[in-house]
Amino acid sequence: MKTALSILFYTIIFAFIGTLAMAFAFHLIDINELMTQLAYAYNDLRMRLITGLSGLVFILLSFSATQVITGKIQREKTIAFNNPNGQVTITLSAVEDLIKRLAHQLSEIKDAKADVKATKKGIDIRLRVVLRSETNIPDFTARLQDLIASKIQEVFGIDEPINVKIHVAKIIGFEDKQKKRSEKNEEIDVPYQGLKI
Amino acid sequence: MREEEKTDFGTIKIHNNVIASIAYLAALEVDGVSRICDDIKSRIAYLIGKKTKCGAIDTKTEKNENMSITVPIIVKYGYNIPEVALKVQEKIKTAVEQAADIPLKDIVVKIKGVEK
Repeated sequence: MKTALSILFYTIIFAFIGTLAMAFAFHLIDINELMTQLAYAYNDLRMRLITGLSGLVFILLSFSATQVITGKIQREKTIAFNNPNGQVTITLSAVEDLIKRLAHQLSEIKDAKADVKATKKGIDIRLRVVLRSETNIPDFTARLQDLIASKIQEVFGIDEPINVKIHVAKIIGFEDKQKKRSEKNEEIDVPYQGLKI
Repeated sequence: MREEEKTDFGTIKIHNNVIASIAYLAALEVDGVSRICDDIKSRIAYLIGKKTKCGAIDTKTEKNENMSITVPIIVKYGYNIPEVALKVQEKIKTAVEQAADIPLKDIVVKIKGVEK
């Protein structure tokens, strides 16, 4: 109902703007009359107040309509199951959060970004990772795929097949960074440096 | 929409916001629930000065039917989500029925995210 109202609101606004544009293009609006009306609205205090308030109402309605429409879209992107007391829906962004946290716990992964899609065949996960250079990629990715699939099945209690695609986007040097860090630490760790007695 | 009850002295009305607040507090007591999601409406209400928090909990009562509650939650990382959701449903059902004596038809739990 709310979505229908939002769509109706936008339809009316766009139809109104479209009609105005067409009337303007076909010279159906007298330009002098238009200017007079605009000048009246610009100068008259009551008209200015009405225009300002209408503007505010339109902004609020627009925000509300956007929220309803985006909410509706988000609502569709969920995994749902039923309990005796009611339904439980899990947004796909929650699944993405979990995968991200899981990936960040592994020392081989520097950064990870997950994209989850629920299809009729099951759940498709695309994971984009940045790895450290020492990692054996085939072994590690196979282990990661198993880990993600089993963790999702365990945490969310999902029975559907889970397809995990891993995309290694970048491999960064692990040793270089550690060396730099240890050098920095050595420089910092000199006690009472510069102290004159 | 308000839940009404007639007594010898008059009518007792329980506003939906009260039920939402009870559900909010009950859900937070469940181990594994990190927080209840907020929406623009609840944030504005809190800024204006409404001190009873109920987040984005939505309560609905259809004609001659029991109440339905929708609770959007963020779950703590490491917890089993179906178990947490089930506990939230049970906790809310018990809390609302005990506090307001209102039977609930449906408790929809929406898992919006996972965080530490």
